[in-house]
Amino acid sequence: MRNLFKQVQGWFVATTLVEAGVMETEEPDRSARRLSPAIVQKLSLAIAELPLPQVHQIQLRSQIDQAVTQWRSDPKAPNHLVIIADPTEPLEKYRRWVLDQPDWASVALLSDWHRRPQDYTTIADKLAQAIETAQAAGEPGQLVVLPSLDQCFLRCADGLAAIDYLRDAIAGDRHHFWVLSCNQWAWQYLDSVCHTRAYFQQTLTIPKLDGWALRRWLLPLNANVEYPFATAEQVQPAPKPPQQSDSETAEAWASELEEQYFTALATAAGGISQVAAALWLTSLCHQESEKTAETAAQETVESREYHSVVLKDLAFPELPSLTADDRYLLFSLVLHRSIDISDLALTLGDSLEQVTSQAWPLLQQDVIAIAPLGYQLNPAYYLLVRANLRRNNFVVD
Amino acid sequence: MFEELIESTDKIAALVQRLTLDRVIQAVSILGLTYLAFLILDNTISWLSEHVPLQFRLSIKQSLPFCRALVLLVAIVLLLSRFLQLSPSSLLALIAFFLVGLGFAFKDYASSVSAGLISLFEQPYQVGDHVKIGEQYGEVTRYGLRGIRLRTSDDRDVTIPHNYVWTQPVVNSNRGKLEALVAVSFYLSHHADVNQVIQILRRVAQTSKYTDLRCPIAVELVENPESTQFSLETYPMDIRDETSYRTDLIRRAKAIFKQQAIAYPPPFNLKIQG
Repeated sequence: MRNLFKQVQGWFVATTLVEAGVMETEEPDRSARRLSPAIVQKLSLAIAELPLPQVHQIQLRSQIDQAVTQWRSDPKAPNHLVIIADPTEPLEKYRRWVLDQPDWASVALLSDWHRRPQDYTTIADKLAQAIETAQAAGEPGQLVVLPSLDQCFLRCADGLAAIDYLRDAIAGDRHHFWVLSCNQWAWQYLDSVCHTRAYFQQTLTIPKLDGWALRRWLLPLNANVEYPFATAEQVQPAPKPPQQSDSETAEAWASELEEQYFTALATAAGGISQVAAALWLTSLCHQESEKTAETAAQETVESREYHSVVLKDLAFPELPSLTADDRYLLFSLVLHRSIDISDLALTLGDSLEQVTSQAWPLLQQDVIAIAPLGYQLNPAYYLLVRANLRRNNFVVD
Repeated sequence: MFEELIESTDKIAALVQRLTLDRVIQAVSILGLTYLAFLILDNTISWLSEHVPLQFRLSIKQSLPFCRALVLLVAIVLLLSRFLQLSPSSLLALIAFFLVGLGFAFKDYASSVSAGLISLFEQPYQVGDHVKIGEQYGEVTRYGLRGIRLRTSDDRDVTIPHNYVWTQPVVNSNRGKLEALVAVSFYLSHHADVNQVIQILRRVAQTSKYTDLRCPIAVELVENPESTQFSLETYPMDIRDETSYRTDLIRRAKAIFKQQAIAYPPPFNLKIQG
């Protein structure tokens, strides 16, 4: 009976993975070792420092250009653009990218606001003060770039005042063009409770990345990782020679194996950059290569570890069994993208002790992580968590 | 009538003569297997319903009475086929015997069983529904042959015979759905700012982790001589959380009322115990 139950449970796990577009390609190589935490940390930092994917940059530039031109020429055109991305995406980086573009003369509002203020009740006052100062000092026609909306509210009875204020302040100021950003889940939630879509109709949803876009985006990390694609090519059938009629994409792949890997990565990650990066990171492992004694003696332990990092087959995490309380916690966490544990307790309406003890197993299982900006969902689990919550009656998109 | 009964009894007696040890062992085996099948069904369906996505939970739970009825039917047919040659006259005699026997000896039981069979199709309640029957309110956790079992909010199991549906009103909160309306009343002073209170209550509901924001949130007012009654009507994502949901709404609303100094009605009609 127990075996039967296990088998049935296995079907559900398999269904979950397929639904999320996640399937393991091959049996993992047993000789490979997991990366050391230090190397994982270094690679994570390198991922965090990657520039925005080029596809996103092109989309942002064209959409903002178009929206600003329209706003300048037509008095009835919207005076805002909301950038909407999946909750795993680093919205601060999008904000910084907009500010770095010299031709838009944009001004940052609360540029030091990377996370929600310690006291959420001050959010509305701080925003009001900053907006009034910007309106008084700024030249008309300027772009004003705001902190992401998910950092401007807390899901509690008096935690939405800043959204109400922003909504009215932006609607009433046609002298400036407002660039906002928000994660998809928070956008949906804010529309349900503050009717934000009625006020901010002009939105830009960050496009999904395909295999080629992912490969180009992750290219700067190649120096740290030994790719098996060139070696694998030797045992694969020889790739077709590039022809005149081939597209640029087809010509640029190093091998069919590389194309297969990145296409599978893009599918498994749902085209979301941070999810893809997390899955890419889990695909890495140590594998000692044969070296001469002289070369080996020259390397330090750390550099030796670094040089032995090899990309293996796509590996996928398995979402542990979630309780109803876990689901409420995860939804609240993703809704706010990053959040302090005390704020998380407030949004759940539970005590700090209760939430801390509840978050602990999820931390242990690596489903959530403590990042510098607070608790965050591990992007590698994002699609699995989203599928799980959706099936359990949560509104996630 | 009496002669007919005697004739039927004779026919039953004729059937009993066919009893052999072999057939009795087969019958006992069938009964044992039926019991085992019930156990497996109960456990499997209960386990499955708790492990599938929430949206399928109630459908799976509600399949239990039908599965049990099917197993029972198969068992009865197998048993009858062991002892009877199902000719029309034998069947008539058997039915007459059972009807008379049940009519005299198990009147209430028969009433419950027939009410349970009718309820399977009328569906005043199903497994997973939150119902109020008489003074009892809770989730239907089991649908048996004779009655249902309710799990109340204070974690007690209450068994209620099906024949209650003949005479008692059955209040069903969710009728096979996950969501059900939850209404929470607040009694405030006549001096309280009504718009402010409505706004607070809406926000309290909108920011509760349990609320299903796809469903409407409403605040209704009733004017009483001693207070203004605000009834917050909203839906949780899962009706199982009803008690926690009410507590969450009340706790957070009261905290905001206190913070915003919203007045409660003065105490009245207090009977001081001597």
